[in-house]
Amino acid sequence: MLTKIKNKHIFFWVMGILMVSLSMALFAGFYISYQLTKSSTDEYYWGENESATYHVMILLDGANQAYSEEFIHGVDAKSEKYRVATEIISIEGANYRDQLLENMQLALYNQVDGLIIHAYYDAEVIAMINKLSSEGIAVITMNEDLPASQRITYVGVNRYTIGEIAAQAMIKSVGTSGKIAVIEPRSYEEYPDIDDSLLVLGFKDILKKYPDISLEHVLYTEEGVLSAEIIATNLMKTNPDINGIFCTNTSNTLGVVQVLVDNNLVSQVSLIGYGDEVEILESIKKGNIIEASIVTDYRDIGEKVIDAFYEYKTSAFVSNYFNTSIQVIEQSNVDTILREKSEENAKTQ
Amino acid sequence: MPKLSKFGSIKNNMMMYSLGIILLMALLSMYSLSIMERYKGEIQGMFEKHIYLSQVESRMNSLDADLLGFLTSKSSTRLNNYLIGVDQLQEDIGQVDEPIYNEEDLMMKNIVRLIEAYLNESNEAIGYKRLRNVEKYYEHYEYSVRIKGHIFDYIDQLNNMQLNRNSKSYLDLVNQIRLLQSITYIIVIILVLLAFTVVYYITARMVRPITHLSEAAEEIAKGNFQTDDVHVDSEDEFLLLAAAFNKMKNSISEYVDEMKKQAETEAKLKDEQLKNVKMEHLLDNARLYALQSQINPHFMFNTINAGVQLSILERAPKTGDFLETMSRLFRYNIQKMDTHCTLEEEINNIKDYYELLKVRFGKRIQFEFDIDLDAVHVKVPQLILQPLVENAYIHGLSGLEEGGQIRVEVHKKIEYVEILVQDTGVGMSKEKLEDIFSNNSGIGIKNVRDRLELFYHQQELFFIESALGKGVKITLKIPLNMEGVDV
Repeated sequence: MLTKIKNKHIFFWVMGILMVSLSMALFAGFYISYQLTKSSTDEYYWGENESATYHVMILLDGANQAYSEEFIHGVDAKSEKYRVATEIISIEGANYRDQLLENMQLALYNQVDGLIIHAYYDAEVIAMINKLSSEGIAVITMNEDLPASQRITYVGVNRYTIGEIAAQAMIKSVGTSGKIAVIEPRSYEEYPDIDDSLLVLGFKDILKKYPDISLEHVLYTEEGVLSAEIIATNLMKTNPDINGIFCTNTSNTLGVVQVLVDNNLVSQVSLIGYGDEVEILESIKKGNIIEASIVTDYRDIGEKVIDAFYEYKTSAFVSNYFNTSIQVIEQSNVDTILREKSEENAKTQ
Repeated sequence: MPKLSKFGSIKNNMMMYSLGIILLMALLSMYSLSIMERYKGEIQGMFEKHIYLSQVESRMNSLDADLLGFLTSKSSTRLNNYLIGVDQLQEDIGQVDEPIYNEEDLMMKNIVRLIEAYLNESNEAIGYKRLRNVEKYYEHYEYSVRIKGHIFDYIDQLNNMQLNRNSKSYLDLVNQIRLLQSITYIIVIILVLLAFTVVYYITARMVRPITHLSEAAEEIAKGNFQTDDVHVDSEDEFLLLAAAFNKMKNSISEYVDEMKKQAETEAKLKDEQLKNVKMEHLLDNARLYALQSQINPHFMFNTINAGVQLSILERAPKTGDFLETMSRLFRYNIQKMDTHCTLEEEINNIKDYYELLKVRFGKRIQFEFDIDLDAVHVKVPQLILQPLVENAYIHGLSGLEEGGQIRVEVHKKIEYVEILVQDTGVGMSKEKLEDIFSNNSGIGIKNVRDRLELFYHQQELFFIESALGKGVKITLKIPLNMEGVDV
């Protein structure tokens, strides 16, 4: 009798264990197949049931290093907040203008809600902005304000202020006398004119206060580092008395650094650069290679363009321009910036 | 007889367990089908959009060819084909959901908008062609071509995006299928174990009562009806079977017990009859002996009576007494052979016998009596003392020149009366002593012992002790208050 009871208990125990194991295995199977379905579905912007409220196209200049990851992070952060689907097109190649116009037309065909462009002064670009605006598409400009157009706002640094800050950094480095050159990337503007450039204007306005300092040359590079190297080499050959160079973008800065180091001109020429790439920061830290570098907050620009668009769509009123912060990196603060960057990298990894 | 539970029958149990196993197997099949369905959905999902985009691309190319054909030749067939293509394309883009959840939705939205724009521009081109405005229709056709380029760009991007996603999904799919395969093997093993356990349990449950029944049947076949009843816990046919078996076993057991008792009674009866026959045989022997003896005793008795009368006539009183004693002795022997008598009568008989011996041997042989008078009324078989006294006299004392003594004692004990017949004769060797009871030559001592045992239905009533030169001592134990003995 006792054995019978024992056997019965063992039977029910074994059945229980097997049923639990079976349930677990079935659950695991369904869970894995569910995970499979989940992993193979499209990657959602924000969540399975959260659709986008607006569609915004962003047209960037592929040659401009300002639109780095930081800028994209800024855009993504605000897009998530306002549920804005962004379509970022980076225009590569030399014929930026035509491609910009073509993609603006594409934005019209696509019936986007907003268009953010790396703009420059061009009549057709302005006309296209006006056309898009008349079709109800909110256009926001970066790089150039283009106040003459029907853009809803401008987001970016005040280029005049950049010129002023760069000039001050240059004076701090070369002193109250010297010959200065500015190396800028090739402008797409229809009528490139130094006098019309806000950045150069700001630079010149500061130099006016120092009569012994003169802006000798404003030179334009093509795309890439090599172009800057060629121009800088020619500049130093033809104008050996130049003792200050201001580069207005990262690739030009790195190109000029190569020329100064290769020709042993580091102690002779003061270089004011642009950007916060690690190579630039390392050159500032070493001393005498780059005296200072002007940095704009790209993430801030990315965030503000989406903020401005959303504000316009929701309140139909938006500020005429949004200025973003400008920072000067020099030997006194380069260590802090480097540390911050390494911490940020560690976080993202 | 126990009642069978409605759901407890073997048939129902078997059906229930079989159904359980079938359900488990069905569960496995459904599980496998469901997983397969998911995979099918996945694979379909992986290529559905790609197929759709290829179709759109193909239609766009046809549409563009028909548009160009119409613009260059104004062919109505081309226009007709174009219009059919437009309908198909519009039907295609009508299937696209508007909400944007991800980048692919965004691309699809762009494709749809571009197709709409393309159709607008191509319709414009056709309209201007009909108006023969070459410049305008060409301009709009150029726009449509440019839009088509954008559409194809988006389709390429979307295809690349899906290819990348599908490549990743495929790798995930392969890994997960491998994992699911392992899980399915585990499920199959568990199900097999479950089925085995259930089958084992059912079989054991069904076989256990049968085993108990067969063991019990085997014991019964050996004749052992004292086995425990077979107990079955289940409320099925086995319970009925066990109950019936137990009932049958108990009935047979009772019947066998009854038979045994009857057989014992019969055996006792036969034993009794055998004893009776034996006793009758002994009595017959005794009667034969007596009859044989009566020939002379009757003659002697009559002769002795004549002698008694003669002695009275001749005034010889001693002779007369002698003969009278002898006559009494003979009468006792002849008349009381097949009946019982009192111990007192037996003692008187041997006293008569003593009187005769005294005449013959004088004082050479002496008799001593130590009789407890309270014990003399006990009933005893007739002629149990005289043969003993005679033996003592003939075999023990007659050969002795100096004579001897025969002592008869009667003592009443608690449960029996003890009679001692003791002589001081030559005695017997051990061999002779044993020979007395094995040798059937005489009817003396053995006859007395057998008759005592038959009379009282008991053993151990007769004891004899002797040794050469030490005389013989015979002890009889006469039971008192014997039930069933007709005394």
